[in-house]
Parts: sequence; structure tokens; C-alpha cells
Amino acid sequence: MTPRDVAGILASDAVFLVVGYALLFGLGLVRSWVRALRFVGLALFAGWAVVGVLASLLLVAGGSLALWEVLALAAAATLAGAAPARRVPAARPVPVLRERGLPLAAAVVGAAVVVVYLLDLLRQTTKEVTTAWDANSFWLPKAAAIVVQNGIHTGPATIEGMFNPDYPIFAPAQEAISWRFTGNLHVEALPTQHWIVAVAFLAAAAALLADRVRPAILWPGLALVVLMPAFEGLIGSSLGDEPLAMLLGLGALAGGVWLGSRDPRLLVVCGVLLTAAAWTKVEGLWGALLVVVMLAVATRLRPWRVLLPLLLAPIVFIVPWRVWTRDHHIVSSGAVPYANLAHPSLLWAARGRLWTALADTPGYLVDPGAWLLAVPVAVLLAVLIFRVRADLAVYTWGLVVLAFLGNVAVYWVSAAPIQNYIETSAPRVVSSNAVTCALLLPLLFSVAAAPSPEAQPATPGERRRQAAPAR
Amino acid sequence: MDASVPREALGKRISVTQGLTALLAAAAVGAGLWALPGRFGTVNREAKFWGGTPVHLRLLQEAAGFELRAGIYPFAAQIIPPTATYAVITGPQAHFKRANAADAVAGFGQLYLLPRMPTDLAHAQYVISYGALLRYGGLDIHFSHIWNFKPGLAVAEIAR
Repeated sequence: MTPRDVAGILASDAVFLVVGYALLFGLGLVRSWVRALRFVGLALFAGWAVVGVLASLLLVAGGSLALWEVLALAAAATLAGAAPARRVPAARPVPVLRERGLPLAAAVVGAAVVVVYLLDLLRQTTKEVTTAWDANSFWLPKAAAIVVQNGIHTGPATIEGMFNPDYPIFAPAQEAISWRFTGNLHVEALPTQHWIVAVAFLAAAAALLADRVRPAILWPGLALVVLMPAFEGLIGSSLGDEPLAMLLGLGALAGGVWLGSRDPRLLVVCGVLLTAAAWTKVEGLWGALLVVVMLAVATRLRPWRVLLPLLLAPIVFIVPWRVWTRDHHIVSSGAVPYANLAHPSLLWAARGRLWTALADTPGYLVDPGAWLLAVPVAVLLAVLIFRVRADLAVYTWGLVVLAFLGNVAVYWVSAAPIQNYIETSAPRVVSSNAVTCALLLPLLFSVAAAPSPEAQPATPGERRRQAAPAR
Repeated sequence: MDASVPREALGKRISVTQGLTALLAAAAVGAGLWALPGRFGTVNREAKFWGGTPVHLRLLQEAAGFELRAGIYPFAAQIIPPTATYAVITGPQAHFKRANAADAVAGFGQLYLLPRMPTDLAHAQYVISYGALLRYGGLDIHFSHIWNFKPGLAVAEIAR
């Protein structure tokens, strides 16, 4: 990385930070310096998501994503994000939870692992370049095409001729923004930007959970997230699965926290992240809708007025891309024929693929060498908390099981040779599911570790007697 | 209920849920501790590896992993102008040693060759030949110039 690369990357992140802070200020989540410090990760991550979606829309509208256009977009997003501040009151300040003694030591050790490991990872990301096949063959070439050709075009030597031209362009747009800020096409500058976004992602998760989960659970939980080998493999890979996993994971976490707090601000954050997720890959939209559907199921549709906009946001914002690809006759090179799901005869004929997918895919999802024990522990914790928090339990199960079945359905209806398809894609496509589970773990542990009703004294008198200091 | 257990102790008794939660927590933390040394070791190895690889060769690292003769890409970068388009073709002289290597030829050169954009043969200004027989007219394309790199590897400018 050259000094100019570093300066460019930091400048782009400063822009994302301003946009994100404006959004959080408008929502009332950040109205003091203390809360600004706590939500710095969420501000950067949300700003990155907002600018990425707007940049994608700009490209579809014929923009070139020149630096001045990015800055103008960011300025507009900053004004629009801060605008609701006059009407939206500040969020009720809930103090973050604190520890003493042994639990404090556990929290410190967990936080130390997170910080030291991420700093170690920074040493790697400042030197590496992605070696992922999909990143080399189409994700980064698409980004380069945006920069070299000043926008998205069709015809020879454009994104149309690359693999998966129908994939939404959030990830290429983000790489192109990085390159616009660095003023070159240095591939080696990108992993560091991905590292910064990943750090913001973890800090955002910590901020969302800080007033709900004890530090002794939160920080060891986040340490488990960063230590998942496959998560580290995603960071800096420039694969579409990387932003998809983080956006869906943090969006699902915001939704999970909302189940307990019912603060609509969290749903706005959730909506922003899910909308960005819909722009990352074709399956991003399905993942975003799954989160909303599971929120609806977990709450028995009672707050449908706030969930309906959440459902519509990813759909409405992705429509321009679908229209653009249709108008420009973009043909997918690896299209999944989802329509086949409605043809029982075709499904029956391909039942062998279903059994293969059902047998082989779970191994990738619960592989401890990739995701430690995130998925099985999350599922079992959801079982344990069902009596006290059925909503969170159902939400967790739904996300895990339906996302898994979605993956299986793709393998079932696809025409690609099944074994090779699973071997080359399953380690990546399960990442959103696994990262979501890992992020939900601290919340699930927090609920499960709370004193359960059966362990409480039976009567108010007994409760008072136990609460009284010993003589 | 066990009558020997004082009622005051009931409130402090660990429930089944909490016990199972503790087991799951131990399993999760144990998995993390199991992974901890390996993670740091992997990151340190990667950092050392990438740090010892010159910047211009980092992009070709994965191509070397496919046992491709990656020297063709720097050779092509010297010839193909930055604003030109190119196509990568393979042929019988490629002698690939690994599966999927034929697909990898075009994919892993793209980033090294930026800002030159890849396209199909019908629209390309240059051809990077990885084992194709450029001189024998099999492609039905006329070349204005051919630069040979090594046997089977060449860059050619298409005459249009």
C-alpha cells in the first residue's frame, strides 16, 4: 500500500462515518459525545451501507461514480439522515452494563483477544491481495470496469461479459469508491478497507448489545466471532459473500435486539442494513426478507405497521437494478431457476439432488474448522430459552433453518453438477447463516444465563427475605 | 421436593437451564480456545508470506497455485496498452497440470492486467495465447504482430 492508498481509504471511511453519524443523529441514537463514541462502529458501518446503496442506484441511473459524485451523494445522504432530528426525540439513555471481579476479568480477556487478533489481522491485510476465484474472475473486474469505463455499461469488455452479470453491484460499487479515493486501481489497497469495515461491524455489534448483554458474555462472544476461521477468510476476500454476511448478520442482530426493546430506531437500522444486503447478491434479497418474515412470526404480526416498511424497503430499492438488467437484456450466466420450485414433476425428477444437498450441506454449516460451534450452540440455546423468550427462540430457529433450506432449495433446482456445485459454493453461501448465529450468541447466552422463573423464590415474602442483607 | 434443602437455598439453586447454558458456554469457549493458537499462527504465516512477496507478484500468486506459467501476464502487460482490450485463449500446447486450470488462465490474469479490460475474441484488440496455435490459421484471425514469450505462450495484436 502506498501512502496515497492509506490516505484515500481513510478519507472514504471519514465520509462513511459522517453519513452514518447523520443517520444515527436523525434517529436519536446519537445525541451526545458519549453515545457518539459508543456507536462509532455502527455509524461507520451504516454509513458504508447507505453510501453503497446510493452509489449502486447512481450507477443504475447512468452516473460514473466519479469522486465528486460520491461526495455529493454523501452530502445528500448526510442532510437527509439528519433531517428527522427535529421531530425524533433522543433515545432513552440506558447505561451500558458493567462488571466487577471475575466477570470483569472474563470481559477484559475477551476484549483483549478481539483487539489483539484484529491488530494482528491488520498486519496481514495491509500486505495481502485476494486470491478468491470469484473475486478475481468477476467481483473486482466489475469494480475495475466501473472505474475504467466511468459507470456500468453493456457491450464488449463490460460487466455484461463477466460471470454473473445479473448480480447486484453493491460490492463492486464499494471497491470502485475505494479506488476513486485512492486515485488508482491498486488491488492491494482493498483488504485494508475491508478490515476497517469488519472492525466497524464488530464495534457496531458491541454497541447494539452493550446495554442488554453483560460484558462478561458480550466480549468473549465477539472474540468467538473474530476467531471463526471462515470469518477471517472472508475479510479482505472481496467476495460478495463478505458484505452479505456482515449486512445480514448485523441486520438480524438489530432485529433480535428490537424484539426485546421494541425501539423502532433499531428497525430503521435493520432496514438500512437489509436493503444494502439485497444489493450484494441475488440471494441477499431473500435473506433480507427472511429476517423480516421471522420478525413478523416472532411477534405474531402484532407490530405489522412497523414491519411492513421494513419488508418493502429491500424490495423497492432493488427494483431499479432489476429493471436495468431487464432493459439491457442481461442474461445470468449462473441463473438459479427458482421457478422450478413450483413444478412438482421437476422437483420429483431431481429428488436425488435434494438428498445430496440435505446430506452434504449441513456439514459446511456446522463445521467447527470453519465456524467453531456458532450454529449448533445458537440452535441449542434457542431451545433453552424458549420458555422465557419464545420470540427470540423462534426468530433464531427460523433464521437458521429457513436459510439452510433456502440453500438446499438452490442446489435442488439448479442444473449445475451437484457435487462440484456444493463443494465450490457451500463453504461461502453458509457464511451469512453462520455469522448471524455467531452474532446472536451473546444475546441468546444473556437470556439463557438470566435467573429462570423456576429458580426464583416462590412468594414475594421469600423474595424480600432473600434480598435483605444478612445479619 | 427434598425436605433437607433449606428454602433459602432454593433461590440460589442452579436451574437445569442455567446448567445446560453453562455447558454450552464451556463448549463455545473451549472451541474458541482450541482455535486461538491456530488463528494467530495462520495470520502470522500469511502476513510473513505476503510481506515477503513483491507487490507486483502478489496478484499472480494464485495463478502460480494452479501451476500456470504466470510470467505471461507481466509479459502481456508490457505489450498491451492500458486502454486496450484483450482476450485470453488456450489451446493444445497449454499442457495444464491441474483441474480447472484452463478456466483459471483468464480469471487470474485480469487483476494484474488492469486497467486493460478483458473481452471476447470477436471484440478484442489483443490476444494472450496460452497454448493456442496462433500461427497456423486455426483461429481465422489475422494478427498484425505476434510476440512470443515461451513455447506455447504469446501475445498477439489483432489486425482489424
